[in-house]
This record gives sequence, C-alpha cells and structure tokens, in this order.
Amino acid sequence: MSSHEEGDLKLTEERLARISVLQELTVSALDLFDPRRSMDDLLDRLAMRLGCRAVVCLGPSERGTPRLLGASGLSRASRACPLPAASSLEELCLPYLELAGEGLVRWVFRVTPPEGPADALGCVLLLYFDGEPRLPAQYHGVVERLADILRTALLHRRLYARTLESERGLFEQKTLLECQSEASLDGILFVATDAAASYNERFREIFELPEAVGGFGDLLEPVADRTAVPADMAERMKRMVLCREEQNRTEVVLHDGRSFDVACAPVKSRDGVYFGRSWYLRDITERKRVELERALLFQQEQLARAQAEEARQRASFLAEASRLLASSLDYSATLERVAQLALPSFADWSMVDVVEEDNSSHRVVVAHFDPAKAKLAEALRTRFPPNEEAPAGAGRVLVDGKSELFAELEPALLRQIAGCEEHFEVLQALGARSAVIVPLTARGKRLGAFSLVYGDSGRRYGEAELALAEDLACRAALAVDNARLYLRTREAVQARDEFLSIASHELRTPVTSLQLAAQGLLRVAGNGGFDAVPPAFLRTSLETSVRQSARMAQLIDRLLDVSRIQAGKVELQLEPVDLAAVAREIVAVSREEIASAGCELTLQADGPVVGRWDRQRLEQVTANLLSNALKYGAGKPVELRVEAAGDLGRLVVRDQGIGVPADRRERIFERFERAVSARHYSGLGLGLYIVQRVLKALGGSVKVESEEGAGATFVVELPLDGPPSREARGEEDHRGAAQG
Amino acid sequence: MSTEITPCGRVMLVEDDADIRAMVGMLLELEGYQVVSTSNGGDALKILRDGERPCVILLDLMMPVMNGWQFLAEQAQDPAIAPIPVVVMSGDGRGREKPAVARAAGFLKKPIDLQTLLNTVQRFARA
Repeated sequence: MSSHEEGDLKLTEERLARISVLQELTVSALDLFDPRRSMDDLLDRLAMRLGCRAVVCLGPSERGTPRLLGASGLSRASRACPLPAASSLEELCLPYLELAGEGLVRWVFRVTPPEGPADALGCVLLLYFDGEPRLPAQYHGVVERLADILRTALLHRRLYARTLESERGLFEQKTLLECQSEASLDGILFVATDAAASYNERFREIFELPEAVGGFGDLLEPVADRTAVPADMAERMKRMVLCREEQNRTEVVLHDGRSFDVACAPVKSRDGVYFGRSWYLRDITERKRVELERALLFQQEQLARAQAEEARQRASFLAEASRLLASSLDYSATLERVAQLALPSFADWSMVDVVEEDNSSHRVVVAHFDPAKAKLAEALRTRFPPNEEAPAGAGRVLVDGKSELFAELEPALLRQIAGCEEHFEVLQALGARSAVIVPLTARGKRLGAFSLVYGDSGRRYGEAELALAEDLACRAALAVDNARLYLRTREAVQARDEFLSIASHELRTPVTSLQLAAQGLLRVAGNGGFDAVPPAFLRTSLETSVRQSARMAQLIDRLLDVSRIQAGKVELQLEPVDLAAVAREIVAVSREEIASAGCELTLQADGPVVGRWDRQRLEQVTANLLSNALKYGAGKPVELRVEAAGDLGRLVVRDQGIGVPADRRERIFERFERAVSARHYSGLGLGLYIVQRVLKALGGSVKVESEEGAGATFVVELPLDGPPSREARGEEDHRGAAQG
Repeated sequence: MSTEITPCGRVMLVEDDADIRAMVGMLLELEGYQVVSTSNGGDALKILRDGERPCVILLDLMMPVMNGWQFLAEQAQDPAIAPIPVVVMSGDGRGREKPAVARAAGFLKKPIDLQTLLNTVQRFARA
C-alpha cells in the first residue's frame, strides 16, 4: 500500500468513522421523535463520541425563560439549578459547577434556523471541551448536521407530543361524552352519513334492541315495531335520515302505552360539516299522566262547578215556581200557571191534562212559548183529549201514574202517542222532538199529567231534566190540589149557604101559613068574637095549620135523616120486599102531587120483583125520585118502570124535563146539590143525596142518564140478595166514617 | 111611581105555595080587597099584559117557571106595567140588597106578620 494509498485509506476510514458517528447520533436524534424519550441519551452519545466534557441543550420554557432541555456531563444538582433570564441563549451565563473551570472550549450550534418561525425552537446546543478538541475540523460540520437533524427531531417531537395530547384529550372527551350519553335518561340514536347507527343504553332499553346493530336499515324495523303505529314511525325515520337540515319534534306512543317526546336534529360541526342525524327520545309518560290527571281534575272541577250552578239554577227555578204557584188559589189560574212555569227555559211548549173527581180526564191547558203557535195549541187542547189507549204519552201517564221520558221522539213513536194522523200532524206542527211527561200526584191521588216538550230548539230532555220535571210536578200538583180543594171548599160553602137559604125558605113557608092562619083567626075573632069568624075561613085556617105543621115535621125529619145518613147510621129493616108493589103504592099516594105537576104518569111494574130490602127506605127512594121527576119535568110525561135484570132489581124513573148538565151528573147526588139554580125550584136539595146513600147501604146504585133539555133517566139497581153481610157493611161504614 | 096609580082595592098576589096564597088571599079579601092570585111570575105577567091593573103586587121570589127576580126585570122593561108598585115577600132577608129587589116599593119578610102585611098593602090600596 502506498503512502498515498495509506493517506487515502486513512481519510476513508476517518470519513467512515464520521459517517458512523453521524449515523449513530442521527438514529439517536430520531428517537427524540418520541416525546417520552429523554434528550440526555443523544447528548451522552454526542459527548462520548466527540470527547466533550459536557453538552447542554437549552431552549425557552413556556414562559419564555431559558430552560435546560437536556444535558450530558451535568450532575443532578446542576441540572436542578434555575437559569437566569437572558436576551439570548448563546449569551446565557450558565450556573453549572461543571462548566466553571478554566480553559473550556465551547462549540455553539443554533438548532433553530434564523428563518424559522418566531415560535420555532429557539434552541442552542452547547458542547464544552477541555481545551481545543483534537478532532478533525469536519466534526464541526457533523455537529451542525446533527443540529439540523435535532431541529427536525425536536419539531416532530413537539408535533408528536401535541398529537398525543390531542389524542388523550379526544379520548377523554369521548369517554366523557359516552358516560354522559349512557347516564342520560333520554334515549339517543345517532345515524352517521354512512348509515352506521349508534345508540345509548337508554335507547336500547326503550326499543329492546341488541347491544349493537349494524346500520340504520337493521334498526328501522325493530324500532318502528315497538310504536303504536309502526308504518308512520318507519316512514318518518326514513324521511328524516335523508334530510340534512330539518329539525322536528314529534310525540311517539309505544304499544305498551308509554309516550315519548322525540326530537330529531342534524349533527354538524361548528363550521357546518354534516356528520349525521340524531334522535333524542324523552319519556313523557309520567308528564302525560300528570297532565291527563290535571286535565281530568280540571274537567271534574268544571263539571262540579257546572253542577253546582245547575243546582243553584234549579233551586231558584223551583223556588220561583213555588212562589208563582202559591200566589193564587184559583183553580184554572193555577193550571194555567203550571203550564207556563217551564216556558221557555225548560220547555218550548207544555200542557196539563187533568183527572177529574169522576175519573174523567181532559186537556185543560196547552201553552206554547211562540205566540204564533197559539192556534195550534188551542186545537190540541180542544180537539185531542189525552189518549188513554195509547201505549205511551200523557194518557198513559194519567192511567199509570208513572213518569215518561222521551229523549228522542221519533216520528213512529209520536204517531203511536197521537193515535191518529190528524193529532200527529198537530203535534208535529207544534214541534215535538223530546219530551217528559210527569204525573201530577198529591196526597196519593192522581190529579193529572204535566207534559214538557222541546220542539225545534235543539234541546233534549235527560234524566236530570226528568228529575227536575218531577220536582216541579210535585209542587204543581200540590198547588193544583190546593186550588181544587179551595174550589171544592168554596163550592161546599156556597152549597151550604144556598142550603141554609133554601132551608130557611122551606121552613119559613109553612111558618108563614101557620102564622097567617093564627094571626088571621085572632084578628077576625078580635072584631066580633070567634062566633063571627066565617066557617070557611075557620076551616081553611085550621086545615092549613095541620098541613103545614106536618110539612114542618117532615122537613125536620128529612134534615135529621140526612144527618144520620151522613154519620153512616142507615138503619135497615131487611125483609122480602116487592119493588113493583112499592112503586105502585108510591104512585097511588102521590096522585095529588102528580096532578098538580100536570104530568102524565106511566107505571110499568107488572111482575113482582122481590128482594131482601128495607121497605121504608125503598119507599123513600121511589118517592124522592118520583118527586124529583115531577119537580123538574112538570107538565111533561113521567115514566116509572120496575123490572128484574138477572140478580138485580131495577127501578127506572124517566122524565122529559130540563135534564142534567154533564158536569153536574155526579154531583147532583151530593148534599145540597141540584142540577139547576135554587131560584126556580124549592126543596132542600137532599132528595137525591138520600137516594144515593140509602142505595149504597142496600148494596145498590143509582146513576143518571140525561141530555140537557131532553129530560133525565134515573136508573136504580139493587141486588136481590140484599146488601152484603153485616160484617162487610160494618167495615165499610167504619171506613166511610173515618173518611168523613 | 105609586102616584100614577089610582088607588083602588085590587091586589095581585104572586106566590107558588098554595097555602100561603090561600091564607093571604082570604085575609085580604076579609079586609075588603079584591085579590088576583097566581102561582108564578109568568102567569102574573100574562094577566097584567091582559089589562089587569092592581094597586100593588105582592111578589114571592123563589118560584118555578118564572121567579120573582125575572118578573121584576120583565116588569121594569114594560112601560105599561112598570109603575105598579111591587112588595117583595121573601124568607131571605139578604135578598133585599139585590138591585132588582131594592127597586121594589116594599119588602115583607117571611114568616109574614099579618098586621105588617095589612099596613103595607094599605099604603098602596084602598079597601
């Protein structure tokens, strides 16, 4: 090998050594990419390879003050020494003991290129040698290269550190978010743009999903199926997942009844990058329940309030009704008031049907709130009496005494109630869509029926209205009963007054004759003694006196008889009596009366009609009926007929006199009653009363058939067997007395 | 009214009770009056319209066919007989206040006292 060659070889070896050092240091520098690795390793290698006493790398701290980044050849104590502030790291006077000796040579390398960014590492690499290093000059260049590499390594190290920091931060945030999401009471579903679906535990629970599903498509069906209307839910979710902007809120009900408030919104970054769409489900079942409860409570309260108000209105309505009803005792005025009571607040029209004491019924008032319907109402009143044969309606209520409620009056039913087409048409014209019919009952007696009807006003009756109508009817019935009693009392008082007037007239008539006879005799005798009294006058006076005394006695007997009969003490002497014979006898003794009445009498009493009766009482009955016929049928034929009819004996007395008006036919058998005014006909008005009571005691009956102006026919019927047994009669008498 | 009637001895008696009619008629006749008797208002009107002109009419109220009140009303309507004074005989004292009866010239309450009857008739008639 030549020296030249040797020199070359040496050069080459040296270069190779340098390259090797640079390589080793470069590798070590590259390790610094990892921020967890210390710089000291690199600096130790550098110091060793170059024979440095110490190597120090300085850089700025976060606060901008100098900081020891790494060192080789420094004790731990030195490393802990704080560095003084300095404007330049090269100028910094380092406080390390190791660098305090004389003769130290320092190499300075700026790690940051001057053109680097302001915040780039303002680092310096300081190499300290004990005297001038015995190194080839090229090593300076090697360290410069190393400084470049170090700069890059530090740059990367910092970036890497930041990356690690970011990753940790991201991980922390992700963990936090996941915790929050899992802890959330709301169900959360996120569907990314690639249709990948993720959801929290709560969402999984709600829809009973597996731990994880692949994508939105796998999720759709199990989610939709849990809702009350799956098709709706699926359709809505499919639509929403496709749109990037829309936000909405809906309420979804699951088929187990739970309700959810579902908010659906796009998920975007702050700068508007779209990641996907989220659904947030909040269970509002409890809230809904509370709301519902509150609504129910509110409704109940409203209802209670309405009921209280209704009760108040009813009370005031009834109070007003009572006040109105109490304001008059006039019978027809009261009935009119009853009909008007409910108009128009409680009925469009109303009517009152009345059962009279003889059980006949008739329509007394029909009142309509609309005056234009007055004619129709009047037609209903006069032409269509309550139909007692109808299966429903006022007639039925009159018979059964039970209320009827027709919430809806269908035409078919209305037709049934009406009974005939004409009646039906009148009802329709008045308007009849809903009705209540309540009985008027007082003291256990059916007085009538009160009908309330709604026409076209759209209102309907229900149970509450029925109760109110019944309440109203109770008060109305009381008023009607009072008015009727008052009317009867007045009539009774009037009858009594009339009787007193008649009785006094009847008694004064014989007294007048008697008094005139006596005073006349005295006056005539006073002039010239009784011898002077003309015999004809004397005879007439005495005859008059005898006759009128007998008449007075008879009148008094009759009054006493009436009072005995009234007390239920009809003494009967039962024996076989021939009614035909009784009739013949009475006709015989009444010849004079018949003649003076100017009546032609026909007696038809052929065969004997024998029954177990009281002779004297039968005579009384026959005489009273005959005398009645003669009185009211004076001047016209009178017919008397006796016949047997099965197990009954029958006496018929027919006259052709003034007759008995229909409304008085029952009452002529009452005390002090007569068919016509007392001004024309004298008599006590007791005859027919006695007849009726005697016949009742005998187990028989009397009724009158008459046409006003065309005479009257009295028909007496008596059981041939006589009155019922004494016990039965005794009970009846007792009851009669109790009622009296 | 009575001044227009020439006093005479004729008395009309309208009474449905036969015994009263007989007694009053007989007693007045014994006093010297001429008595026209009838049993109801209708007959009385007929007799009057036939020309009978009594000085006074004794009138019962409660009678069949035509009662006393109706008679008074009819009489008042007929100018020919309206002036004849009427004395009402009634057992009912309250009847006096009724308008038709209040217009009557006199009132005799039953039972009738003979002296009162004679005094009353005397005011209108000369026996």
